[in-house]
This record gives sequence, structure tokens and C-alpha cells, in this order.
Amino acid sequence: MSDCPPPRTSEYRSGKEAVVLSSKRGSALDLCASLDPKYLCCSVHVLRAVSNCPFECSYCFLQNYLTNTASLVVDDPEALLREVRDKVHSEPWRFFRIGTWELGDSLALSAGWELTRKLVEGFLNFDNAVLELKTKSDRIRPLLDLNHGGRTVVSWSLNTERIIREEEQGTASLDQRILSAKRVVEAGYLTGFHFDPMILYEDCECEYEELIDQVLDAVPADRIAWISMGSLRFNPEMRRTLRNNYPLSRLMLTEMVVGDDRKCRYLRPLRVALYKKVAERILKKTDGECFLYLCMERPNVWKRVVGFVPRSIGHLDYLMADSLNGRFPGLVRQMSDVSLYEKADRSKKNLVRDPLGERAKDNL
Amino acid sequence: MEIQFIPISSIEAENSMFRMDRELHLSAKNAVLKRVLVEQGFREPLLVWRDKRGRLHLVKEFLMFSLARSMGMESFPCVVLCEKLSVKEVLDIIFLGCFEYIVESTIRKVRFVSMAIRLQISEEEISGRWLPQLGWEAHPEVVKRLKAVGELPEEILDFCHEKRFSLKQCFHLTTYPQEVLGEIFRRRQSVSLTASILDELVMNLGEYLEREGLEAPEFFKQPEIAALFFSEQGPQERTVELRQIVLRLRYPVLTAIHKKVERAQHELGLPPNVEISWDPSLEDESFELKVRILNRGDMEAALEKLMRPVTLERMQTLLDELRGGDDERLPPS
Repeated sequence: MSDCPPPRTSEYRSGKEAVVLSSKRGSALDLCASLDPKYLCCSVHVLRAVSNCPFECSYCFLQNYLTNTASLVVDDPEALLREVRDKVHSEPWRFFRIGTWELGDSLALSAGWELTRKLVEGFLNFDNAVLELKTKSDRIRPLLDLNHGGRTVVSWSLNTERIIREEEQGTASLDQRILSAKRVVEAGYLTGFHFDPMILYEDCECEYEELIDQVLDAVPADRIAWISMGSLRFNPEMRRTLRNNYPLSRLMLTEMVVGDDRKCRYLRPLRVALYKKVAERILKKTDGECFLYLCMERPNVWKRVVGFVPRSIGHLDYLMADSLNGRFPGLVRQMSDVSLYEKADRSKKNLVRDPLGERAKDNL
Repeated sequence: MEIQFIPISSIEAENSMFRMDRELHLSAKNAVLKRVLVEQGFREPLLVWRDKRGRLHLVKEFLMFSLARSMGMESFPCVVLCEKLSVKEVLDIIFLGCFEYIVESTIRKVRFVSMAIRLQISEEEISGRWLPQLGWEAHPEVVKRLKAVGELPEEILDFCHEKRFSLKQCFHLTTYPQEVLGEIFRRRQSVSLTASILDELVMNLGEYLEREGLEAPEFFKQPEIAALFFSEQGPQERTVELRQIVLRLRYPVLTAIHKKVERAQHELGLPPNVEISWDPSLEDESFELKVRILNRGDMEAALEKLMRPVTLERMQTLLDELRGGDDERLPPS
């Protein structure tokens, strides 16, 4: 590994062709999404360990976000773990969920497996954090023999077979993903599922319900750390990018509106109708045991879909920690009072930024 | 440099390798040029380039050339650049000699680059040699965009030139369904187009047609649309109506909900000093009331009306409509 700056490419696809190992540059740990109070974020933290992804999901925001499209793996686990340690030690009362998937797939690049191994083992040293490896792949073999100590959640981004076939080129099939989830659970890991982005099409409700049945028939609910739902969303500029990169995709043809966070989404009533069906199925199949949340949705949508609304982003963060604490004894070292989570959330308000928004402006 | 009088028939103008664009024949400018030609003749010789096969290509002053020809002149004073001068060097002469003309609009810059591409100058060469002087980054992505814009039909390029579109606006046109863009351009004189209206119309119409599996010519033959274009409305009114029709077709669910909300609003029968508004995207399902008050009586009258049971009941109907019936609604097929 050299200290030279990583190579720069700007063409979306050519950046996927080769993987470059690079040193860690600047801060790699941050909060996941924008903190627009009108759309509740779950306060997951992201560790930027990889950038770009070998898969070709037509809806992927990276095609409109990355200014350098080279596939990069930060080959300095010690530096990444040092940054995580500093953060989690600075807020010992808090329980952190930290994912490596913000700018790529956690497991898709074989060049990143060594890094992943070291991160999984490194998280054994943090008793107030859990690592989330999120993927659309079936590349779990390197994980199976690791000493993970229950501090890693291996999660899958899932969609209906039709969407996987038509919009997620190069990814593992649904059966492969479910089989992989079973295998990591057998290896003692917790797992998670993200039904996101849910996409509207004819008969999609039935197909999403079938998807839920398939997944929850295969994986025991008591090994599922969390399940999320979110619908297709992107900044308006993506319409052109998607049209250019994937001219056959029909994703843009459904009715969408621009929300307060400047992202296009399906009409609220259409989103709510789909979420409700799927949420009912999830809650029924898991006897309400799993923590189900919505990703970047409005309080009114939460209310209609799950019947309650977290009162703030900090409250949602707390609820997730509390749920994990109740279901997986020993995972959350110290269950702190909700007021600490909410105070931390309020204190961040001065630092609120929208990295996606800023970068989107740069792309215009 | 030797000046030669060369017969008109020996000079390639329309088919010249260096013809950058269709000249924009501005009559006022033509009149001035004609007068100069009549009074003073050619003040400078024309530049022509001899290719390896001996053909003479006009390098610049295409407008002057065509004017002189239309005035019946039979030969012109010319300086012949020999074939030893490379095409690249001739392009440099054009670039320097016509710099102000070229940089006057994005489209002229695009046409210069397109000419260089047509003359097989490499993208690296174009990028390094001319792009920075044209105010663009020397980057392959810029060349790619310029190439795409240069391939748009001439009438669209003329429109972009006339409206002084930026490169970004021009490039957007290349991402549209070209059939839809063409159909709208065919009716350009009947509608009033700006960059943003064009963007909205072509994008929404293109997506609607794709969703419904329709072709653009079929759309314009539909009775409602055909009637619109046969109506006596002016271009602006026609454009407003066309946009409304296209939005209605592109967003049928949103339109239907809005219709119900508007009906519920109308049935509220609010006093004239009370205004009601809501989020048109329906992301927020509440509405806002604004009361304009000049004296205590205004307030009392407004409150009395607002607090009537029938008004409250109708407000609930309005809220239900703003919710969009999401408990029952199925995703569209």
C-alpha cells in the first residue's frame, strides 16, 4: 500500500473494473444519512471502508454521487479501528451500530475480505458497539470461521425476485442470499434484513409478501437483530443518470414527488399502502419479536404503518438499543436513559449537514 | 502570401471540410455586408485550403462567400493554404481568427468541437488544445458531452443557440427520448418553450408514453391534443394547457387526489378573509388556515364560521382526502 492518492476515474462503470487498496484519508466514521427532522433516520454510523461496488443496481445513488468512481478498499484496519475506538469510548453510555456499507457492499469485494476479517475481530474489543456488514452477495465464506463474539450483524438488502433479476445485475439471487443468511446464523452471527428500496410495480404487494414468507420461514426471528423497510428514493438529478446508464429500466415511470429533503419518492399514500401490507406480514411472521423500522420516512408514515412515531431521531436510536438489549442479553453493555440519546441528538443539530445534498449540488 | 483570383466553381463552401455550422442569416447583418461588398469589394482575401486531391476548401467567411456569390461575383481573391498545413493547424487558424464568433454561445463552441471530431482530431488533442480556451475543463467527460450535444438535430441546436443554453442544458436535451423531443420541436412555433418548460414537457411526456407503451406521434393525434393545436389560443396559453394535460397524464393518482382535495376545499365555503393551503406533494397531510384581520369583527366572523359543526365535519373530509385514502389504495398497475 502506498501513500500516493488513489487513482481517479469518473466514469461510473470503468471504476468497477479494478479494485485499489488505499490508505485511510481523513475521517472515515460518520452518521449515515441526513438529519432532516421531517424524515426519521435510525442514527446508524457508517465506516467508509469501501467505495464503489462491483454490482450494477440501476437505482444505486453512487452513480450520481461518487466523484471518483475507482473501487477502493481502505487497507488500514488499525487506523479504522482506532477511529471507531475513539468514537465509542467518547460516548460510553451509548450503543453504536456501525456499518461499512455506505459507499459500497460490505462483502462483495474479495480484496476487502482481509479488512473485514480484522474489523470483525477488532469489534470484539468494543462492548458498546456492533458492526453491521450489509450485502447483496453470498460471499460469506470468509466470515464463517471467525471469532466474532456476537459483535457483528451480517445483514442483507433484499428485494423481490423480479427486482433482483431486472434491477440488481450481478448480485446474488434471492435464494442464495437467504441461504447465506441461514449459514451465518448457524455460525452464531446475528442477522438483519433491509427491504429497501421497495419498488412499486404491478402485483408488487403479493411478491413482497411472498418474499417476507421466504425469508422468515428460513431464518429464525430470534436471530434477527433488525428489519428495515424503505422505498425507492433519489435526488432528482438521478432521473437523467439512470436513464443514461440503464435505458431499459422502468423505475422512473411511477408517480413520484419531491419531498422536503429534496429526494424523489413515491406518493405517500402509495408508499404507506405497500409498507402496511409488508409490515403486517413481518409482524405476524415474527410474532412482533423483531425490531422493525422505516428508513428515512416521515412521522405521519410511521404512524400509519406501525402505529407509533418515535418522537425524535435520538428516541429511535434509543428504541433500537433497548430492543437489542431486551432480546440479546450481553450485547448492550449499559442501557442508558433515553434522555442521553435525545440530548446527543439535539446537540448534533448545530452540526447537521446533508452530505448527499452537498455532493449532489457539486454534480449539477 | 500570394493572392490568387479563384473561380467560384472551384471552391468548396457547402461541402467544405471546415464548414462549422449553418450560417445564421441575420438580414440586418447581410445588408451591411452587402453594402461593404458593393462599395469596397473584398477587403481581405478569402482563406482556402487545398487538400491532397487538389480540392479547395473554404476555411472561413462562409457568409461573405455566399453573399458575394448571390451578387453574381464569379471569382474571389484567395490565399491558398497548401496541403502541407495540417488539418489541426487549419483548425487553429479558424479558432484564433473566429474566436469571438465561436465563444459567443455554447452551441458555436459545440459546433467547433464537433467539426474537430468530424475531422478526426483525437479526443485527447481536442481536450488539451481547445477546451480550456473555450472555458471548459480538459476532461474526457466534457468531450463526451460535447459530442452528444453535437449530434442533436440542427433545428434543436439553433434553438439552443437562440436561447443561449448552457452546456448542461444542451446536454440534458440529449438524455430525452429523441422522438418526443422531435415531435415537440415540430410544433415549436405553436408553443412557447423555455429551457425549464422543455425539460418538464419532454421528461413527463416521455415517461408517460413509455409507461403506457404509446408512440409520440400517436399522442399528438389524440383528439384533445389535436384540438389544442388547432385552437385559436396563443402559444403561451396553449403551452400552459399542454403542460396541464401532460402533468395530468403523468401523475394520475396525484391529480385524482388533488381533485378530491379541491372539491373538499370548495365545500368548506370559507369566508373570503380565510385562506387555506396544503402541501401539493401530499407528503404532509395537514392543511394551514390563514385569517386576514382588519378589525375584531373579522376575527369573530371567521371563528364563528370555522367553528360551525358542518365546517368542522367538512374539514375532516378535507383531511381524509389529504391522507389520500392510503388505507385502501393499492399501488398502480
